[in-house]
Amino acid sequence: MNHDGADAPVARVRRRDARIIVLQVLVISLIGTLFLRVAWMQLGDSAQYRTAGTSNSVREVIVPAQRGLILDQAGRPMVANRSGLSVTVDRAELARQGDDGKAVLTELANKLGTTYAALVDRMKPCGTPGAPKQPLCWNGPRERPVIVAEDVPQEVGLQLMEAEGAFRAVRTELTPTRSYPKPYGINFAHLAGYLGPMTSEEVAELDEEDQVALANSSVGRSGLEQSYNDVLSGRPGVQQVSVSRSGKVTETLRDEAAQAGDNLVTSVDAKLQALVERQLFEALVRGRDQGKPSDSGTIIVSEVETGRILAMASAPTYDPQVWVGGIKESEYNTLTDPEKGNPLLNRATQGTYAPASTFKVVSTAAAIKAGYSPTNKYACPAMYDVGGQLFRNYESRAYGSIDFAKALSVSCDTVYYKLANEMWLKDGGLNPSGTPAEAMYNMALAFGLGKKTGIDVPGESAGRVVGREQKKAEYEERREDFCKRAADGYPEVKPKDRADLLQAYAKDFCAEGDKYRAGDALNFSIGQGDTVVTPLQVNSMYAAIANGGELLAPTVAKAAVTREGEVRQEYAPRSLGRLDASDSTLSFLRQALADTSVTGTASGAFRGFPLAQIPVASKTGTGEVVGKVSTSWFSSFAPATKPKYAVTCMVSQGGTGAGTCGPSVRAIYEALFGVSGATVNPSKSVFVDGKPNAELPTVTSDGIGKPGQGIQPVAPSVTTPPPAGGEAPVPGGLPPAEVPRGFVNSPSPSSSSRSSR
Amino acid sequence: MSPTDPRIGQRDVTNVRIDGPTHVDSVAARAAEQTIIDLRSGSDDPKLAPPNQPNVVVVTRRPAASGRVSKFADRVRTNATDFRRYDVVLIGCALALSIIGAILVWSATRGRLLASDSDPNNFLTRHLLNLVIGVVLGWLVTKVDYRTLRAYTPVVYGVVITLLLVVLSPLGVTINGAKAWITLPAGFTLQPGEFAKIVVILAMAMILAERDVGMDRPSDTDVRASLVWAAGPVALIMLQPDLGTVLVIGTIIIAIIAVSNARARWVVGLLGGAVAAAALAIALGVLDQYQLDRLLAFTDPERDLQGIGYNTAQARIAIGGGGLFGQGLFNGNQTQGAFVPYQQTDFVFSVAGEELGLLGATIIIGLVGVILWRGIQIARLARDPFGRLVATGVVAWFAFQAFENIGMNLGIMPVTGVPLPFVSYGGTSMFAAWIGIGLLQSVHLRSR
Repeated sequence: MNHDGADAPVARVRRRDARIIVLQVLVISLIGTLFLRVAWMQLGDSAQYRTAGTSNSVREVIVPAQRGLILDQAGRPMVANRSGLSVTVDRAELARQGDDGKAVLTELANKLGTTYAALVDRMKPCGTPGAPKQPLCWNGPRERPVIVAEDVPQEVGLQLMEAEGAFRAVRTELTPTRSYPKPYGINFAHLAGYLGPMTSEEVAELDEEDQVALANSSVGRSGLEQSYNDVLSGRPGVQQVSVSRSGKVTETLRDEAAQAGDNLVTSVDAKLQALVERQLFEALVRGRDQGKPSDSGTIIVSEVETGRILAMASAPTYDPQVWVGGIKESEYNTLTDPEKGNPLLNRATQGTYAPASTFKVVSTAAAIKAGYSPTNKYACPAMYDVGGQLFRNYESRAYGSIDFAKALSVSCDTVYYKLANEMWLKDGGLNPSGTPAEAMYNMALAFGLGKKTGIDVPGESAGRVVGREQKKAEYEERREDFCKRAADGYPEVKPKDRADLLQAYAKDFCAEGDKYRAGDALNFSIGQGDTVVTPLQVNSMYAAIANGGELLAPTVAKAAVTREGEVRQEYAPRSLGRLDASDSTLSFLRQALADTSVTGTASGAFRGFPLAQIPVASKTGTGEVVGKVSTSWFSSFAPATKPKYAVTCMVSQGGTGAGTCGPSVRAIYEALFGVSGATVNPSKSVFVDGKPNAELPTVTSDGIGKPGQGIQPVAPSVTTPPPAGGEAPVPGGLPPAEVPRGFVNSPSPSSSSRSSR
Repeated sequence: MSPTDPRIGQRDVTNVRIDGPTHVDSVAARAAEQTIIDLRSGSDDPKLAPPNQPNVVVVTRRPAASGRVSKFADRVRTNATDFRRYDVVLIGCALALSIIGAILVWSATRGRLLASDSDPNNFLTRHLLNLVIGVVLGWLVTKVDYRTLRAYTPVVYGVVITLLLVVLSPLGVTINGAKAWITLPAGFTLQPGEFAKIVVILAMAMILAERDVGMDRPSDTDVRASLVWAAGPVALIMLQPDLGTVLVIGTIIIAIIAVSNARARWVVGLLGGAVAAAALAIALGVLDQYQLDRLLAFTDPERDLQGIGYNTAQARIAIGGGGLFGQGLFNGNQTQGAFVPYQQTDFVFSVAGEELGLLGATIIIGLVGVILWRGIQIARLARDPFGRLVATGVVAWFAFQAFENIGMNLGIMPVTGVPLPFVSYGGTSMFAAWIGIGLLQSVHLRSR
């Protein structure tokens, strides 16, 4: 063996070893230190840590915040709360069970009346392989217990609570859920909207403190619930406490009381809303009685001076209750199925239709602005010929020579064809030089068409108006498709004549789809062709004509009011600008539209109505849709002399405006002004005092509407303050069945307790 | 290596001989052609080496011409002999720690993975895969004579420096505030800082093992040179910044210089310098806030229980809750509740403390202790200064890392984010630890 440095003196080797020995001693002492420290912590000190350790067993108690109520203009709750029992499953706890929790889940499925497979599906996070689609999969944070059932029957919930030992990982909690008191039987589904759980992405965006508090909360996913979520939601209370094994709270780490959400006072009147919903139903029935499909429709009632929505109904509709407790797949499919009319769609703000003759107020204003005198006479033949192509007088017949007022009230298409053709030629026809005036197109934009009205419910459509520029741009976008179709035809379309029609259109488009042709201008002038609008846009446009030219953003919410009745925020009417029409033009339009109800297309609908006292300005429309039955339109405001309300009715595939919508609109005016027969009695109006509540209703801490200061007479039956969880005062004698049901008071602190383990 | 060593003549053996006059084994000389390379001059002829240079030569032997059959028989015999010659206790302890680590990592991650619908054995599988790769890497290192490694140290050094530069380039990934990772395909990441520990050991040992004839300690010039070699990786890691690794390497540097028998003032000076540098770093605000926070949490553990003190507080609650026998595997309150952040990596010891109790914790500390004890023995019995210094470096590395890691779990050391060798989850750390074992074995195999 070869000693290193065999010639090295022994002393040197020793010294070198000495340093290693130092290292050795050091290492031994370090190891010894660690050992002593562990022993001390685990034996000597253990009891102290054990308490600390078990204190983590239950850390958080989340007290859900009571969501604010949605009230009508008189303070009646239209969307309220009640307590429901919900069942959650902690997946981490399940995984710790021998069979991955199969036994527990099977038994739970039995109790809940569902299947093991359905529960397993429910617990799959959205987006993972094999997960069902939203909202059936678990969209909440992955680490949190999954809510598998909400609003379960009380006896089931109690059974589960009692058997909590046998059902490890399963918890039953008292959670607030939405309830719909349905005052006067209103449906109100589209405006109210619905709630859905926060997605894990949304939770991830929150800061840590908020994550703890909000992870299991619901947020508005549509309607007022969505746009005013911040107002309504409040803030859940969080208690972080140390709890010993025996269940004793040893220390409170964080204690934030739940803050209830504010109530939202809307301008909607529940009584009027109920009536409007009924009248929309009537209109659809009327359409169907005429043999028209009448697949869907909407009626909007607004206040012309403020733009506030007093009622808005959309059909088909659904019971908002389906969202409570998580929607079932079959229900969700029904809500979005086009075959079943896609009830989820709010026709007033999301449906787009050709405005047809309701558009003629725009054409008239444009013509007057372009220099045509409204009092001159214009020919109203049955047909109008442009370059050999005949344009029919759809909604009307030949009237000889008439002025603008008459043209509007009898809705003579050919008068507008002539005006449109002349203006189109003046703009340079097919090949304009410079910037064409495009009077009608620009007027449509000024009347708020082609852009969102800015209503305070989400998901609104902007509609579409097409001028020369848009035409070109769209052509560039779609040319390829159409030219291909021009060559190949539509073999998949039946019957053949429709396929031929489509192919002819494609050929036409491919050849010169970029040209703004005379036909485009003519169709535009009568609200046909490429133009589509939402019924709400039409209503806003007529309200603007009524109020003297101020285009207002429609609003539903009036104010956010605290539980204590303090006004937190008022939502003032919002102006979007003025119509591009002079006062004389507007007053001319108001007069002409008033005539429509007397002698024009709407005269049938208003026969016998006391028009002398309450002149109604109205315009009917019958929109042509290729391959479909025409759209019934009726837009109006009253009184024409001093307008207060605008009412717009639309029934898709409903036939003529006057025939299908007309009677419903009349019924609404009768209710608004208290008309019965030929007599007007404001005290019989749906509104107390004959007009909407100018002030905010007084709202008590439990959110029940109380009579406003002298504004709202109390119904005789309700003379004492309502009992807790009781009833809203209902003016007017309606059957008790329609009295809104109560809602729970603020949740008890025990309503939900969740541990993060 | 004795003249009767059966390996001679049977395979390529590269020897690096140091110290004393060049002494080529007579049997070997007869059996093999010799190629002698002077490392410093680069010349092939030892006679051309400047006479005052230390006698550092690499002797490469080519196999003697011998029958294939006897070669094979020899090889079989060799392998059997090889295994007996390995330090089996050292391997056994490292393996035991790695397996315990796998179980602890499994326990710490299973619940969380299940809750997120992932494969609950994901971390377990990866930990075991890392272990297999690590053992293979370590085994490969033992196959190479550590003195050959010395010849290649500059190359390895260059590779690691390149990797450290890549980390700082846009290819590097920032995790937990330090830009210390490189992403590899298939979701793997590489942390070159771990390999930096090894190259610092090799590079310093390489320089400090060279002695002038008759000198029993490295010259001041050599000490300075070794510090320059070590400074490169340290500087690059400071830029990441990975404070934990810098501290580990610092300990390695001081230990190697101390054991190299350099003048005592070097050791004292470096210790003093380290303290001064730490004080200066805090005073000048060189440390990032999070690094300072960790230090503050250490000095006052009750300081911010919801913030930075949370980690250590939760880990200590976990360990304290363990008692003598623990709460049982997969049953720890803290562990299964996922209360301890980074529990499969930096705080893996707390899983053992809670679920396996004092018994498990003692076993882990004991296994670490045995590994260190074996390492020190290997250093003592090393045949030459290079082997001794390499072994010392590995011991210092494991010792500091284990003490720092377990110490921070126990609340007696500040949190700096170093893994517990073999036990913590992490591929590069596992590879490096097993390469460390490989280096110890390599020195052991060729010891006195």
